[in-house]
Amino acid sequence: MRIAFTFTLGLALVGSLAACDTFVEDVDIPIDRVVSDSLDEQGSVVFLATGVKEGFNDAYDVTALLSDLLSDAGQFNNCVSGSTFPTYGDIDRGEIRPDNNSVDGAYNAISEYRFLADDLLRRADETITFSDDAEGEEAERLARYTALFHGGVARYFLATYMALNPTEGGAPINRSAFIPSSELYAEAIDLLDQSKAFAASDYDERVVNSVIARIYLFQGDLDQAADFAADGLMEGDAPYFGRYASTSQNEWHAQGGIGRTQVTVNARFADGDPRTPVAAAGAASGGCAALGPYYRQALYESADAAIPFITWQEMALIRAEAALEDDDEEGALGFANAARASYGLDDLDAFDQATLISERDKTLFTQGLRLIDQRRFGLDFTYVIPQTDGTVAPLPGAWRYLPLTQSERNANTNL
Amino acid sequence: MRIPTLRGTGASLLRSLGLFGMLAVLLAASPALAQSATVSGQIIDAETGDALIGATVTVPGTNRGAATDLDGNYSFALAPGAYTLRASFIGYEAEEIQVTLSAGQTLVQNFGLAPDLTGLETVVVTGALSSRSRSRSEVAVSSVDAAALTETTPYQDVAQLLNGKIAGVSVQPASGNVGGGVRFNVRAGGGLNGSGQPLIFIDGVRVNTSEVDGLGAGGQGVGALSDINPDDIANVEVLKGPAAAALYGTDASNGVVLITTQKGTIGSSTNGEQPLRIDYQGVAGANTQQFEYDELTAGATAANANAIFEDGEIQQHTLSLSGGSNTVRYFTQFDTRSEDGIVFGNYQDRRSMRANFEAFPLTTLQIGANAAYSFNTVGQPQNDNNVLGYLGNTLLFPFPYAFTDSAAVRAIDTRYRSNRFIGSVNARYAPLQNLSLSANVGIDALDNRGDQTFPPNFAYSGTNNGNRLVYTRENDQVSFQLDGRYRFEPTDAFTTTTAVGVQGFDQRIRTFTFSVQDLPSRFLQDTGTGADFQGSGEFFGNVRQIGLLAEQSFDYDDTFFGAIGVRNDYASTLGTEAPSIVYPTARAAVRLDQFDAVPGLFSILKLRAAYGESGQLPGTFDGIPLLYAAEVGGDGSGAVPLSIGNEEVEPERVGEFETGLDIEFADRLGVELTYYRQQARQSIFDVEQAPSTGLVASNIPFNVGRIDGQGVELAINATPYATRTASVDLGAIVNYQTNEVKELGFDELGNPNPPLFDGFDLNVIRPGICPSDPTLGPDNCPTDLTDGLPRAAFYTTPVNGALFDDAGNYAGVDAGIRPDNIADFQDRLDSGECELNPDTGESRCFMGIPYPEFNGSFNANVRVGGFTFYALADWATGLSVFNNTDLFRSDFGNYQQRNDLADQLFGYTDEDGNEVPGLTPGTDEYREVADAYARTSGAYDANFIREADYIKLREISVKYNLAGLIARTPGLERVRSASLSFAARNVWQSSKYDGLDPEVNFAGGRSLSRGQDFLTLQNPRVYYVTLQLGI
Repeated sequence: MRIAFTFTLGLALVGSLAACDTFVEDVDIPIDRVVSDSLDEQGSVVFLATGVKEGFNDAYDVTALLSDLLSDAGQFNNCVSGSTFPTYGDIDRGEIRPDNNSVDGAYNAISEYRFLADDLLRRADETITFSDDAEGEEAERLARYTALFHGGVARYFLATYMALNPTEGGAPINRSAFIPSSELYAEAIDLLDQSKAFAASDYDERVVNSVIARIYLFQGDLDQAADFAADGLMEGDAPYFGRYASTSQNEWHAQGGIGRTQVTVNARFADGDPRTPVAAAGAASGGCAALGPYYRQALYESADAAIPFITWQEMALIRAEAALEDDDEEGALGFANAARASYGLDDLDAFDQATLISERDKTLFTQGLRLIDQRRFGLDFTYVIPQTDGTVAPLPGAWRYLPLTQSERNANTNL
Repeated sequence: MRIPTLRGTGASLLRSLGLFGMLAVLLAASPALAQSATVSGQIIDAETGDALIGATVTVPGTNRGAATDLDGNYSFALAPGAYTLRASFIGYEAEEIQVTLSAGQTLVQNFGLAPDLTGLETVVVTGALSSRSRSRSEVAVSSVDAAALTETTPYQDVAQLLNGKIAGVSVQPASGNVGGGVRFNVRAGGGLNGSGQPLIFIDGVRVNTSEVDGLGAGGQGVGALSDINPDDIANVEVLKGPAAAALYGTDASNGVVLITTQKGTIGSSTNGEQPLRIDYQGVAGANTQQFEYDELTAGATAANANAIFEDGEIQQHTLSLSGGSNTVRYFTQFDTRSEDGIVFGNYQDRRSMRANFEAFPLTTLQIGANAAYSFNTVGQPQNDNNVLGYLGNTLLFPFPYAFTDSAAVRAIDTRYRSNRFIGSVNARYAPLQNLSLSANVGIDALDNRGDQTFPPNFAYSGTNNGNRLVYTRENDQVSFQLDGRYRFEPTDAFTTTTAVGVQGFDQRIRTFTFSVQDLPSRFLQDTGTGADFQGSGEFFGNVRQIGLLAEQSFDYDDTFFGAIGVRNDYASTLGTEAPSIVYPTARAAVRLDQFDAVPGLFSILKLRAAYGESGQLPGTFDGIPLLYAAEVGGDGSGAVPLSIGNEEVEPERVGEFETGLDIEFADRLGVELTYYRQQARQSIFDVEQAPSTGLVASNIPFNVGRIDGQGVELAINATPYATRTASVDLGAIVNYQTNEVKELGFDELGNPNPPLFDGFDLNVIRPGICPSDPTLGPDNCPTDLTDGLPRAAFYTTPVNGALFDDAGNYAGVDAGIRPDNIADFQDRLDSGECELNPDTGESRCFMGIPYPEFNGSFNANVRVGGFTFYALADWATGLSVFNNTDLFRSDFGNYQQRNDLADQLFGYTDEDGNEVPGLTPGTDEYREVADAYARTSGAYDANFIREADYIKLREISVKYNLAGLIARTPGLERVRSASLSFAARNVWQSSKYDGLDPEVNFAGGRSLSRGQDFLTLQNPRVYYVTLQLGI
């Protein structure tokens, strides 16, 4: 009996082995995620392209916020109610450790954005088969324009904001060795230039030229900057925006807005200038109220407010800067006053570098560009000491960029 | 309440088990007894002479036997022949006797059983296919007599019931929230993967033990175990590692907890007429603040912090009915418990009902059904890492409610409701002598709904005029086991048992969230009234596992015991090809007391050894290379990466060897000593990718990890004095456990993968390093790698003291290892306790571990007259806690210690407006104070990692048995039992920790963050008064 029992059970078990495979494989599929390869189809191009644009939105607002925090435009003060992130305080002081997890947020967002753009280009080149009809052509155009334009912008972000050392701009791509800002800018311009062949409209092409103009400006090539600015956004053009929704909040609103104010803005913006709307930020209890007032930006009063990424006014100021460089004050005034007029401001009578810097400071408010101007023009890096009545001190830290994160340093053996 | 369909599972199951089912039918034939004899008699307590109701007499190796009735009598038929009769009863030592029966004979055989004072005769489950008495077990198995404990102490949950009572296991509450999450610490922690938690079965049903956290209240979740009523439980057995639990397969590497609920018992013998037992237990109690804040722990706001606490009322009523006959038994219980925590908004209201049935329609067939339903509501307060919490608003700043107004904090409503059904059916059939077949199928269907409301017209950070968040979670899991066992006796002394089985598991989980803001009125809580949509989302996951298991065991001469076994596991999470994995086990024990050379005082002296393997499955989607989800933003719905997997990922494999001694000395002293060694290989380590790859959605799982652990467990229990009217029982548990992360793999260049840190960059998983350059792998390292660190060790930049400028003024914190101080750290650098990255200059050092190196407990139970006194104390040493509360208090100016040092250092203005100068820079006193000041800086975590050894008087109780009083009271003849008891929990503590409660963790009971006290609610002190009545 024992032998029969063992034999029969053994037979049953052996027979059940195959059934076990079936049992565990027969599971219901998830509903909130899809395998990457499933998106290698023409019908998914809009979904993929929108993902790239969302990558841009995610990268832009957080980078602009942190950049302004490091500059003298934004500040962190734990006397302001709701200001609690020590990592913001470190950025404000320029004392930024590579493991600062607020910088992780910005760097990861830029890197994923870069990946999404490059991966869309890979799909367009290698895996998606486009139909020969108009629908297929439009899908391929959208894929290529989106991938090339945003691939360029992502490299612009890396070159402009990230650094290996406090003053050495640049970043790796896909675990490469460190790529200095100048090389990243060159790659960016190349991709942006290619994207123009797939632009859907003149407006799109002007947006591309505007970004190229800004890159040349940051590299100190004012002539090229002015040329591209001239072909960039023109008066009346809408800005190119970072767009947000209640599900994907504007970071300036979330961290420096009416809901929670961790990043305040310098009191110099509270002068009634229409370009820099501000509101009072609440003081924490205790003696903080007496040390105020504190100001927050009031441009983005809802979570879905869009943030201008590039504007025709900026193009006008780039052209003004180039004119000033050529000692053409009259020409510079013309450009600058055109921009001012769009905000209802009176014309300026004179224009020099200080005026230019001030105009850029206000016109480009909250766009993360003050930091670059401080670097370009050699301005002092200062900060307002928290829990004082506005005492300004030199920035104690050495960082003038956001550091490549500890995660990158750990996992990238080529750095 | 939804009862999920079994259709999907059942269809696959039938396909899987077709042959097994045919086998069961094949073996269903059963020969009849002919010309039988009868054996009958009575079983009594040998010391008191009382009849033992429900004791059993069996014939080992057969399916014959019977249970005793109300008078302790039994009777059953046997074919003529020679037999061994075995009489047994829980809490008594079994007795065996040889008898020979002839046709038509009626043999009267009485038994007098001696109490089993050391518990070594208790039959316990020793594996998925085996059970033995502890005196014969080849593995260490701990058991807890839950029914006896809950008679006097109305535990809030299963975790409280178990803590301090099991060698090698502690159960740690994540916070003082009633209904909150817990963490089981089992032995050295098993492998690196999974939640580190044991599998828990209730009456054979694998139950969900998740910590549900869909709403967010700063870090704490709701423990799924809080739905389970401890009063339902009769007994808990714990298999503590793969050596014992291997045949439970994947996910059992952290042990298996087997909970058996109460079964029907035959009615009272007091009046001899009542077949039904009715028991009532009523409890009144209170949760109270255990520790008061003072200037050292709360700075200027101690009074504000203390003001948030209030006494929380506890009420519980339990009514149970049980009874039956020799053929049918039933147990039903209704329980309601309402309980307020120690801060407003924390409460639990649980109602549960249980019905268990057993039937014995044939002498060869036993069937049973267990069903429990609970409805539980848990309210959570805001605390922990949170600007909306009570503690965050009363501890951080030197003034209260800096972040959020007190009325606004109090107005937040966060609650979880759960409906839970746990049910199973089981059958045991013995178609042939020596052959038994059993089956158990069960369901754990748990529905959670979470509601969180921030009412309008209050100011909440990040909230636009109120917020409503709704979260639902449906978790349905079906588990089943079918097995067959055949016992064979080639000789009188040699017995073998062959057992085979199949065990399966099917889990489906679905979640849904929906959130809106801008609410019109605090009286409307319909999400449809919110004007500002915030987001919604759904998740669905389906995981299946199945294992085929077989075991061959043997007994020789009641002296040698052994078994070998194997399990072949399949799971749906193992990459795309569903590969299987095989886990072996082998075990042996020898009863040395059976040898003449061993003194007779050793009633049991057993040496045992066992080896087994188990592991943890990969995550649900770990085997899929790249998954995209939709992100909805300003440009619409776009594709973004969600998780990055690895097709080749396999389960972790954890091997454990254990050996030990079980001793019973003079029937009064029991000792269980166990040494174990665990080695986890192929641990899945989620390797962080360089963000420049763009693959930042998740880390990528690789089977590259390895961790070793070992430890010693010692459990002693003694009954130095026992008479019919009085007894003294003493117990002690001592555990030592340690572990070391050995390997996390290497990148393609041979360099080590970077360590894994928790979200606060403090707890680390780090292997040994190259001491000269931690960035080098073993192939490139000029010396040997150092030892690895323990799992989740605190690992951060060391603080050396203060920096001074040329004039001797304080100039900041001197932290880290640099060329000018490297000599001070050389020994620790050489040993790997510290590391210095030569490229970045970053340095870190080991600062302690967030779980104890040694821990244990003492208990005493004294019975005298009608009184029973009980006390349990537990302790832990080698434990560190990160006091992040103090770090943030330092940052926000409410750390009095730092403020006092600042006054000394820099001077201050006194109450009369006089300037009091600071110390003179350059002096020794200045330097000393400056160093101390630097060590209070919130910029460095190292300043706030504290030793946290503790000893706690965890439980005390006194119970008075009213039986004597009742017996003398006319009219109460029908009252079978009555008692009145008082109990208290968390009565007293002595600790090195400078915070309040060294047991809490701000991130709940499952995170890599461990031992981090960050504005976390202390555990309450609890008082209970209990009245018990039985008729």
